[in-house]
Amino acid sequence: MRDLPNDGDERLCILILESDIIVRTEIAEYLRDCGYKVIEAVTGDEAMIMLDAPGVRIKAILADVKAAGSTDGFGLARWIRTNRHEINVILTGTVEKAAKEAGDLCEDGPILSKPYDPQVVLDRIKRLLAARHRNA
Amino acid sequence: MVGRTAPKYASKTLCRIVIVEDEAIIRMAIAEAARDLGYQVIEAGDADATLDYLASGQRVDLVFTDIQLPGSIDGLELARQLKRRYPNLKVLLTSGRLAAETAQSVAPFIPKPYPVEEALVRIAETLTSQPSDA
Repeated sequence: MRDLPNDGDERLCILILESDIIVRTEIAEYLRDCGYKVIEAVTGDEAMIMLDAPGVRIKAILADVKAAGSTDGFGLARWIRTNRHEINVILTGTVEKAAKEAGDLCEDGPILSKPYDPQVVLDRIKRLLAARHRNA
Repeated sequence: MVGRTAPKYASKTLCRIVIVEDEAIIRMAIAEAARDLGYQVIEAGDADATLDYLASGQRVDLVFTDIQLPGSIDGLELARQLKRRYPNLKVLLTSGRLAAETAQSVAPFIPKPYPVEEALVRIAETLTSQPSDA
């Protein structure tokens, strides 16, 4: 069995906020196959609940800017930047107008566009986590 | 755990189950535990998403659904539609409110709150049950 991506003694946990069940499931499964622990949020409200869940240490969030609920991906990213800045946020979506705001939130380049290659998602998350680890 | 253990099935890693639950922490807990046992788990927050997923042509062996759900239909109606559209698909219902007798007329039922281990046992049992068992 191959080694899992590891930060200390626990698997790196990624939260996926995506309301489309097919998109979310495919990306989540891909990331799990790569060795990540993945938790899934259907709405922004669920994501907020999971952020406060005991025993859950989220390292990165892959968030759809148009996620359902009272908090979308943008709102979640803003909240993270203010309250949980140790968590990396990657925004996904197709809205061109969102690019500038997403660029402000994601330090590592432009947002992804759907449909996206899971390998691109994985590479981006690894790069963000590695960059943070280096700067810790 | 109530003195029962989840049966070991060699085909578990091939079984695909959908967990339909709008309470995120409950869904996450049961989904994680089921994945740890080798199931392929799809998570849905409501019945509409479940039907969307199945309509995409993805194979699913069992749907474990709460009855009280947001969206256009509840879990009981979801179970009825699934049995009609996908006769070979197994369904397991759960609820903290509905009487077991009402639910069991549609599909196997486990009351809330349930220990995760007990739910896994019921999932395994339902997967190996005959259609007439429901």
